[in-house]
Amino acid sequence: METNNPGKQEGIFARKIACEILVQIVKEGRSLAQIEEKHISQIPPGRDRSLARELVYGVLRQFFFLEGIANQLLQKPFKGKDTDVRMVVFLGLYQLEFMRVPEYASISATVELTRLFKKAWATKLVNAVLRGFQRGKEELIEKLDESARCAHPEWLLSVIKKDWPKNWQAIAEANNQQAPMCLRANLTHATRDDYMRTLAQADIQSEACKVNRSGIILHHAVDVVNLPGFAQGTCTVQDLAPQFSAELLLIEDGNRVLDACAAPGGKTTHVLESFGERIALVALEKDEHRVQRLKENLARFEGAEKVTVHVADAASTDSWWDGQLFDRILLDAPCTGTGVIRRNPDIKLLRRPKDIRNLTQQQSRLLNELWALLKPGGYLLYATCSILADENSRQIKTFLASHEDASYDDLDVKWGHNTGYGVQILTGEQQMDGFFYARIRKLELK
Amino acid sequence: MALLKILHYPDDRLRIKASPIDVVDDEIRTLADDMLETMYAAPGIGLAATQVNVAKRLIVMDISEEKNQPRVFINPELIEYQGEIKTEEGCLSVPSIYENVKRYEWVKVRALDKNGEQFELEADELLSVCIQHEMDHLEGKLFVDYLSEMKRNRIRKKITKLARETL
Repeated sequence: METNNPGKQEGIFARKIACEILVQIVKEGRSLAQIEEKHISQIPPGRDRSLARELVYGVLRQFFFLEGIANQLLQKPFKGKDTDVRMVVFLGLYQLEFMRVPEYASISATVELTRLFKKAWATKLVNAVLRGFQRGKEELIEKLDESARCAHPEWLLSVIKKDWPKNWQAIAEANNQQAPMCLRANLTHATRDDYMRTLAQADIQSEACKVNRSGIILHHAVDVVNLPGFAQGTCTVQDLAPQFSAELLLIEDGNRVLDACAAPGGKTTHVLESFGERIALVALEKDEHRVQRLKENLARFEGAEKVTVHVADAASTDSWWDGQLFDRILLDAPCTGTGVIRRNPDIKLLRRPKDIRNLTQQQSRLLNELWALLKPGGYLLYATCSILADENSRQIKTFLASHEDASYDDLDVKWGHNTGYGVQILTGEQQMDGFFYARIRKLELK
Repeated sequence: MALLKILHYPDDRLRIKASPIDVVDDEIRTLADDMLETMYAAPGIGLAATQVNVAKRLIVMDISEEKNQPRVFINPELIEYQGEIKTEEGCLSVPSIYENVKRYEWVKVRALDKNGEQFELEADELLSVCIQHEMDHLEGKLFVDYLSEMKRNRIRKKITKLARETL
């Protein structure tokens, strides 16, 4: 007798779940963030869960490399309905090339996984592709074109190359690395050093970020429930790069401050913890589900009830604005997310060239609409987690050219690349996500 | 030790009723060892002599995770049974087909071990299902016989096609 119980063979169930997640992303265009937890939670906590996550993130990071290898070993492309088998091939190749699993174990686990799909032809094919890779690995890798070797889609790599002719290789490399888990220490609760000592007592090893005052880099990712004081707002999980925004806004007591695209609330809570009741804070988010996350995040902080939260599209001012101008506006605009590919490797698969244009139009509309809500003498801080010039420096250049009451305010900072129209942090620099800031001052026209 | 060739449905030799083993000698013990090796390599959790083209009443199995609890049953007989359980079964002679089959939930079996000593064993869950599945083989019966004729025909076609492809 033979069993078909996936739990029997070690790690097969984890591999099966990883495969299901990949199929949903590749075939149905779902985002990893939408579906990851739902699927992963089917696996009992522990080693198998980490295995499934490692496989999903790994295959997504190396997707275009694996595709380049597989295409050489296959006689004809997979049909859409066989995306599951295609993903098994990618999983198998990934394990062979990137994981410390003995080769025979990788192959046998992958072949075993194939059998779950009840497609008899597939077992033979998967086996043949994996053995083929084992035999001709060097030559197969040698034959890959540049974008496959960098594991990026061709169009994206060429945009990055054009925008960053000297840095594109470092960017591509950083995009394929695992990002560290980072925290922002709430400096009104304790100094960063003190909080790091508290972490060490909880057996969480960390190092201080060298370019900002609040950032902490954890040596290993941990569940937030294990972070001391998390529920009380003593720390927030946030990459290092966005931690500059509260400072760059130049907030003064009594200011009316708008956070225009607030969820999940990393920057909103930063402003709140730094200025509390000394300012009036309004947060907008157009996505209702994301508003829930914003509210949950705010709830950990003192004074959260004083924050005005609207479910609204910032650009449709009629729907939410009470007619009072703002002293400070933070516009962390919707973007391609090309600066956070290392955290969201599915971006490389899901983004399309036309998205850049749609997003730049959306950004420009937001800039224009929000500009009217800014008090003369006030500041607008434009931020994105993109590394593309179209969304960043070129966007700001265009805006400045069409608004005579807008004055570019050069940021005097020791990090990133000054483009002349804002400062760009490139992915991986000082361990940060790719991020962009530009500050614009509104002039009082006579 | 040697790997044996497993017969595949719809091979007629899978329909032969196996004869009792008179003497448990070295030849039988070697057969049992080879069958276990073949079963582990497949991989499967149970194998009947019928499946390796030996019409003798001998079955082997190992349902442990670690694959370190081989069991050998010679001339097995069901002496008591109780309840009903429906689980998904597969068979090394019917590759890549998995279907739900109804079995007794609990069984008591009497058999000879590798030394020819008689023993009795009570089994439930997977072990019970596996014993019944392997004992069926000795009667020339396969788990697909419990399925509807339509399903069985589909399976036969699928396996014949698979066999052609792997030639």
